[in-house]
Amino acid sequence: MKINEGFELREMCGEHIVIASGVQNIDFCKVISLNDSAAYLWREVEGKEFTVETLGTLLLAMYEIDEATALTDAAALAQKWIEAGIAQ
Amino acid sequence: MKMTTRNVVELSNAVFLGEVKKLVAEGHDVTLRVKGVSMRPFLEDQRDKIVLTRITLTPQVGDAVLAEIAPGKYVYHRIIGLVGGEVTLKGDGNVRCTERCHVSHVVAATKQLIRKDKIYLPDGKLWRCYSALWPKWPLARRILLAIHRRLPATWR
Repeated sequence: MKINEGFELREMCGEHIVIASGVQNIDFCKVISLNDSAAYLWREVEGKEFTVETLGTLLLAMYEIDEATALTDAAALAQKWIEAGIAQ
Repeated sequence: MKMTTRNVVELSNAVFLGEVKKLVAEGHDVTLRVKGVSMRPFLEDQRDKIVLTRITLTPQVGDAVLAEIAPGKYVYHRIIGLVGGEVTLKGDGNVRCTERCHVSHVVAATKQLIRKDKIYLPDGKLWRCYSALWPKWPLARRILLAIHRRLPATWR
């Protein structure tokens, strides 16, 4: 899996906003906001190939959670990113 | 732990529109959903959208623009006066209230107006006709806006 090119994570008003930086028209009616954990994962895997297990391992390294929870959360997030068209 | 993307995020206007200003200055066009009723009757709160673009020509009376009328305070209104570098702005949906700023604080021009998902250009026939016909007089505005408010949402 990889984050699609042309998307950029920006800090705006304390929020983590993903915008399509490669395009001329930035449509704020369709922006995606990430929470702190998702933004952390984004920064760690941006520009790299990754799997659900990669995301789970990163969560385990950052948060005091068990492995099963980390993998469940990582899989849910990866699915959301794919559905939103920002990763494939 | 919740790591979902969220459906709706409310950002403070001051900071958000500051970011919009930066993006427009970088050369991007920016699409925003309309918030507020001050550009009624053409633009409806939360339904319609505007596409903003970089200012390339000196703004003119009649243009709808994004302007920073005080540090961190932005309005998207129509220019109703331009004298000696000072711009006077007024929302089409406002009866009396106007704003003023220097022309250098007009930060974005209108590229498109998207009403009910249909695109209108600021130099297109319909927007120009509407701009010419929409009354400037407070009483006429008050009456027309009162009628507009009472229309069913689908007719607006």
